[in-house]
Amino acid sequence: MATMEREKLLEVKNLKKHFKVDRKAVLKAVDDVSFDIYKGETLGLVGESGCGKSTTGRTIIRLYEATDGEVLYEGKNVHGKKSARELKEFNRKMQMIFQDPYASLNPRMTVKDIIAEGIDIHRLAKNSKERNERVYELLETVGLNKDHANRYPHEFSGGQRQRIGIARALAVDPDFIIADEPISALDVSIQAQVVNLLMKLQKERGLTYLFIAHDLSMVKHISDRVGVMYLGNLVELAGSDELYEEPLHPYTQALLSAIPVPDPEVERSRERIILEGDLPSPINPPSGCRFRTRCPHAMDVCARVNPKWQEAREGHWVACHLYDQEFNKEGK
Amino acid sequence: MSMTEKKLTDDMFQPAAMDPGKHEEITKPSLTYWQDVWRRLKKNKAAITGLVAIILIVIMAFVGPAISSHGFDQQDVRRTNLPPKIPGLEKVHFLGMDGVDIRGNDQYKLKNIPKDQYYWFGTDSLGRDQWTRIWKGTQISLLIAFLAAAGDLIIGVTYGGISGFFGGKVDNIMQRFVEILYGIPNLVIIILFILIFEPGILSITLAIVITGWIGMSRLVRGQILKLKGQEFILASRTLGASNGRLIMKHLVPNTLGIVIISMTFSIPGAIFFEAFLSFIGLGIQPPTASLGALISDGFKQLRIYPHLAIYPSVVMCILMVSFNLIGDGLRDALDPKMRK
Amino acid sequence: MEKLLELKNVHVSFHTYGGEVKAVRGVSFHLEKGESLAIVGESGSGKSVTSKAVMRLLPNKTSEIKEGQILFEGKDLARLPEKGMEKIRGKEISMIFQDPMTSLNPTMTIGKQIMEGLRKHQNMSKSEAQERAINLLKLVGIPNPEIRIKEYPHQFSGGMRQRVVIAIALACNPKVLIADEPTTALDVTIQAQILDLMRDLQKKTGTAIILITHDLGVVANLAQRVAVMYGGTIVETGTVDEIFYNPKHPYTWGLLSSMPKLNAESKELLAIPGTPPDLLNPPKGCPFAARCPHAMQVCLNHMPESTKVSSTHQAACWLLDERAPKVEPPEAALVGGAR
Ligand SMILES: Nc1ncnc2c1ncn2[C@@H]1O[C@H](COP(=O)(O)OP(=O)(O)O)[C@@H](O)[C@H]1O
Ligand SMILES: Nc1ncnc2c1ncn2[C@@H]1O[C@H](COP(=O)(O)OP(=O)(O)O)[C@@H](O)[C@H]1O
Ligand SMILES: [Mg+2]
Ligand SMILES: [Mg+2]
Repeated sequence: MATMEREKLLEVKNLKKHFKVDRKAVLKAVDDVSFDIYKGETLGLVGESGCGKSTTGRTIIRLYEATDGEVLYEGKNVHGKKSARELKEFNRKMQMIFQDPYASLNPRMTVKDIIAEGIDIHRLAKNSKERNERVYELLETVGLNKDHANRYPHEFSGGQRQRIGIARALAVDPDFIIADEPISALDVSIQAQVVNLLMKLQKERGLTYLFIAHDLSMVKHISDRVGVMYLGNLVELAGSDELYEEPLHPYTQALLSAIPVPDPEVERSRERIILEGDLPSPINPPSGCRFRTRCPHAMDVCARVNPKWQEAREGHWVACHLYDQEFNKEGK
Repeated sequence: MSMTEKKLTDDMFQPAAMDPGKHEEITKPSLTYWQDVWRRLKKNKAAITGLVAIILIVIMAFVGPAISSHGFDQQDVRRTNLPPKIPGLEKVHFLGMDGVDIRGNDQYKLKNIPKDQYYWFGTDSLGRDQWTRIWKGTQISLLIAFLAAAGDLIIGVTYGGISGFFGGKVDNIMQRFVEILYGIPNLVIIILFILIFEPGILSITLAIVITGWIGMSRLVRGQILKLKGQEFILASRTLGASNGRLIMKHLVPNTLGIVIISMTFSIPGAIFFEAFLSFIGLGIQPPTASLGALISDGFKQLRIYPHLAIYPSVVMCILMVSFNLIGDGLRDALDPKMRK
Repeated sequence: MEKLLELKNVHVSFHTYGGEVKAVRGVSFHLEKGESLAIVGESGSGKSVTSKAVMRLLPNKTSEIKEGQILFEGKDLARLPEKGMEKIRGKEISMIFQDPMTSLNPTMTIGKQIMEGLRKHQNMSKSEAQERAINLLKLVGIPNPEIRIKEYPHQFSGGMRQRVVIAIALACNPKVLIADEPTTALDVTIQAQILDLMRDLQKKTGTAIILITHDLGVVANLAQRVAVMYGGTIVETGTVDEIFYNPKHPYTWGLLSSMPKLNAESKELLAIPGTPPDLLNPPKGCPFAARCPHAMQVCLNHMPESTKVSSTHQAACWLLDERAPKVEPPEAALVGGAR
């Protein structure tokens, strides 16, 4: 289902985002990442913290200027100079949901004003009555009600706040939503509420998601395709079932085997690939393949040559020399 | 257990109809942030004591001069250096309110003051009523302090806000300027400033503000820098908010707390600084007096007429302590970590 | 088996300006020698408060252990004076916390921090303590311990720091190790390392572990017995297999069915609606009643007693009463073998 003829909504081409940390050092938070997102699908993005997932999302939505590369939304470049009108139009199409339910709502504003922010900015309501009605409608959509409108964020639980954040994003009727770890800070029982809501909204409104997370089991559940990031690079991208059943990249394999499964029987009999050591610093990443320092299959060539981002099978992309005819004659 | 066992009937094991709407119900009364702060502040006895003391002193500063029949600049050489004498309390000798000086002479008798004339806090060396002068002085001190705090507020918040909000080059240049200003000893700046302009309420206030705003601006800049990266600001930006909206709706309301705390500490600072200027002779010029000027004058005759220094000192101490108590209380009340 | 630690009907309250927060309301469980017991439940259910009560690390101005006993080798820790507690804390029972950043002192070398407890509790000489510290670091898998012992916490990565924290906790060969969300702040690959290490260490040292977590995957990985906590009470206890394959409490069902299962075909998650109870005004009856799909009249007003399901398995739920209707756990709650 992943590779059918479908319309591309977003194309990310060789995207780079580097941060200057001091006069000399440059932190390559995102380094040459390319992928497409099709209309109506959910693309999951996973990886350990600090691998550049949020930076990718924020660069796509223009919160950061890209260092290099381009992002095309419906064929139009997202970055670069734009008139105020074009910007406003763009802001309505693409929205973001944030990770921290405590930091993502202004503590001094009522829920009504928070949700209505997009309505106010884009003048979507003619008068305050219409504004109220839209806010109440949005509250209903996310499973809250109008009694909540005049309260302040600190009176809500984490899951409720996260749903308020979703309502705020929905207020401008976007087509594409970047969800940056929307459930990481929530309890398991509450995570399911938010994920179910996101999936319901997708069905009802035909939304497209970029779903960022470090919890791989939730990502598999919600995504059609999943990309795996490591130190600013995309190392593998495939349909979610395929990725979980037949991971190609050694990092993906290790990551999948590291997830504890809520099943004692399975846990007892499970063979883990335990990665040695820690994530290297993104300021001074290893040469060649960035994963080679922790890779159980590292070869000489891995230190010298950057692995190519190529389609190992149809719809299954990977950046690893093990799957490169040129370097791995015997094939893995 | 057997007690509860008896009360349980079979029909209690019927499924209870749960209202799904109830899941999201919030039972606590809704409180705005500031209501919550006030609720917490009310529990803090020290802060409330401070608040009451300040309110009383402010009231007295305006009412005090009026309830005494003597003007603050009425001189009369026939009644100089009288000790305090208060009707009623004059009979309780150990209070020192009986018009008797420290050597045991009843000055009122010696100077032939009519029986019905009382100087509650005594008089100074020019025969001016000390009571009236103290409250007038409190007025002036408070005026200078509030003006200075307002100056700090306006300049500090604007400067720190711009510097923090725009960041980058702008921030860099603005911060270098602050460092230079901060590098010059502020006493030098202030003394030069007052020497050039005549000492007066305005010039003293300006002198205090000229370096005082730096602290405020740093605080605000830090807060803005911290807020700028927070997700609710990012959310607002992805919605297409203009800079003006970001500042007015998001940044200002969230910096207000620390600005208020900082103000409650800069007010006593200004009072103290004004007193210091009076001590080195650069304060308010007679016949107008501030608390500092009164203490400075009284201090010269502390051994002979202690009442001249003691009463203004007491008022000033209460003021300073009260402001600090409120500041501490506010800091605790505004601290989001204590929120529940 | 021998009961090493036993909590009997422990109640802990906090006095806040908003009123009394009844954080723990009648918790009873025991820990046997050398076993690992997991306490699961969502945040705010009272897991940390329970463990801090055992360690007597609760703020003594604002909190109190109102009722109950905490028996450790016959002594009641709830009533032990601070002096006596100092001999137990860190020596007999030690604790590791969630955040490895804040549980180490940034101004002291790693070596000094490990040696501190050794020298206090075991009167070791400096050289003895140092040797032991190096051995401990080796034990928890830190390469080059002779060199790293002289380094400061900021020179270690998050995973390495948690290893150091574990080394410190194990320094005096405690009988009980309480690990409060030891891997929550870590990434999955590092979490796998730490869980591996803890399982390994338990085999080697025979320390009994109380593992506090909200991740059922971690529970399945490490625990032998499980206590499920909700709203300040323990709603179900049993062996891991009993909890995962034969759960009896609707909250446990909810927890199990709101987890996506990697190997299962994608079906909808069954979320638990609503939010946990406010412990400032805890409900009179079962704390879960308001969110429970099977709630009955009795649940609203009467706290259910703990009912025996098997010799090791207990649940506090009115559904287990013979007068209650028979209810099957939802399909989504069935894990692996139970399906
Ligand atoms: N504004 C910033 N300035 C400098 N470095 C940053 C900034 N934002 C992120 N980084 C760095 O970029 C890397 C990737 O960060 P991030 O995208 O947040 O990772 P993730 O979301 O995958 O956890 C990290 O090493 C982080 O420290
Ligand atoms: N120091 C404290 N003061 C007041 N309430 C507290 C304090 N510590 C914890 N609580 C309350 O006790 C309850 C249980 O908290 P805790 O044991 O930390 O939960 P968790 O299960 O997430 O570890 C929570 O409702 C929390 O608000
Ligand atoms: Mg992130
Ligand atoms: Mg906890």
